[in-house]
Amino acid sequence: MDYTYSFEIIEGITRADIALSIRGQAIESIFFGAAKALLAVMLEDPESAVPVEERAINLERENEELLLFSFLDELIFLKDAENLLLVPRDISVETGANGAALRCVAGADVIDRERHRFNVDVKAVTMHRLEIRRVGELWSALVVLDV
Amino acid sequence: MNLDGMRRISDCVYEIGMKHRKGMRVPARIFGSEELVRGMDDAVFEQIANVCFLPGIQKYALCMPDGHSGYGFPIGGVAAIDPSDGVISPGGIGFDINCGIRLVATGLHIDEVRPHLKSLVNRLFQRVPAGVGGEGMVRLNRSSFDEAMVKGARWAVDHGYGEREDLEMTEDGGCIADADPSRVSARAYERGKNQVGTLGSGNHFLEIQVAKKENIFDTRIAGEFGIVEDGQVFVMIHSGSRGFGHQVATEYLQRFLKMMPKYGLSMPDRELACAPFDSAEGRDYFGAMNCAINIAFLNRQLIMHRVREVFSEIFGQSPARLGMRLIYDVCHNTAKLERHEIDGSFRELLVHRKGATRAFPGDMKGVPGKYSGAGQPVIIGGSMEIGSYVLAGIREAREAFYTTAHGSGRVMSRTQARRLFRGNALRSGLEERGIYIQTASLPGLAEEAGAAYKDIDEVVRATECAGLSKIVAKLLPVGNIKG
Repeated sequence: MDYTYSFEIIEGITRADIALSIRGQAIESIFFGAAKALLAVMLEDPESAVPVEERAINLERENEELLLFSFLDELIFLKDAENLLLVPRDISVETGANGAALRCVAGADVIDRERHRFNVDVKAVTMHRLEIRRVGELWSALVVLDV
Repeated sequence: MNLDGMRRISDCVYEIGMKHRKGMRVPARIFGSEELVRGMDDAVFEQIANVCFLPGIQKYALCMPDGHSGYGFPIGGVAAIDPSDGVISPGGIGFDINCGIRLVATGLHIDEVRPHLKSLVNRLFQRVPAGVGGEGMVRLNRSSFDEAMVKGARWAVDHGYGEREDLEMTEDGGCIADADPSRVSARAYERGKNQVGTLGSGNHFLEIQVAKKENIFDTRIAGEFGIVEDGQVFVMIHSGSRGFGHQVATEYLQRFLKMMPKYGLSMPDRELACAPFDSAEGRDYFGAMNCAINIAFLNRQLIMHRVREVFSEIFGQSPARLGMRLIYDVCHNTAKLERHEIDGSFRELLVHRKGATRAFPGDMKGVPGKYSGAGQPVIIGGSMEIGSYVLAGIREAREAFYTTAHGSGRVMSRTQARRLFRGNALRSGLEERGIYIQTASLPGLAEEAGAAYKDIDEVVRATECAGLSKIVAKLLPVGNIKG
């Protein structure tokens, strides 16, 4: 699947924290891009995260916005609890009347303070102005991270 | 921020009326000089107005002079809520529950420290875990962690990490009541268990500071706090509950969002998700949040213990002989049950403070007897370039539920700061000025450049002008560790 995405840091929403805008051609690109953006916020060189093992992340939530929240929360949790940096590989998102479900296979690298130079830690994903929108063929999301 | 639509109540108090937006239950009051309030970003205006929608809020939503935009509440946001019919909101506390700051006095003179400054900072940087992936000073299994959640800093002292007197000089004795480990998930424990006794990153720091005679503005109160000598050296520690607190807040935020319809609650920002305080969900969060408050107390106590060990190693004397005494430890991100006067009668209120400091006058319950004549010490952490302040709680702050500022407050986003400053250049420039820095992240250091923050002198002047607390002394940085 083509996960082409772009992201940028949005000014004017929060001075203390970091607001991210993510764009893509499919909802999967939004999730893929959000995970990559999380790494880019934290690491001086996001490519320094070189997966050595695989992790499966499977989540279900009431809608796609809460699913994105839970997905990023899981990546942040694994960073603290297991010292892992997660790089998304395959993602599928299904949405329907009963909610939204994510199946993700991610590569995992163990944090190595010699190899991984950090810009900043991300403490949490927030609900502040969290949204996923679809306009025509383009998907976009806004996420504020607590740093 | 455009001041149109705001009423100037006094020189340093501005009000946004309830007509600003339909649904506001109280007005919002913003403390600050005209320059500071104009310098606040528009999102502060929107965020503090959102706080006015919280059920049970009393009198006003408040924003302190160091206020700047965050999520949910602005940083510097305060709401006192009637717990009998009002709510508790994780967004009014923040993810870093009980992020806070403590100040340690030493009996050392800067002339004694200066020759050892680099080795002191380097050794502190080695021994106090900082930055992402830093391993905690203690490893606790779940049952020890449960005990620590209830005992807070008391757990540390019971296990040899500090002195009894440290507890007396910590807000809530370093051990807040109503902590309920049964309300904390296994996931929160898993996230926090490796981080007990770590500084963290972002704006968390450990700093060596010096007092100058000309910067002691109230010698009587400074003397009571233990700031007594020109050239005296201090240590300031800023950290919180780390991933444990973040996880507690994340989980309850989601839980509250789900059950808000059940209680007929809705808020203009999902980050202000809330539950009636007097509900199973509200009480559960209160019990879990108090666990995180205690873990943060424990974290700062462990870091201070390590600091004492390093000073002892470098200067070859015991911490007691070096005069290392905790002046005070204050919380920034909490919701606490306190008694306050509302319209002539005293009531119990749940005071949410997010990036704001409790500032009790000396005669209030909770202030150490030693400070009954001085007022509670307030520690305002500034940037590593400019300096920090010590203030004291005063009676006049009643209308603000005895709350004051907590830092200098950002004028620049992190991204703007990183565009303008380079960590390496900043570090070498500071070294030329006699401030020696160690950091786990040079880009992170750039985000914390002095120019990214408000003028702290102006912030504390406005704090005093608004009647929130009294200026006591300014402390200047000489060495700093950034996570």
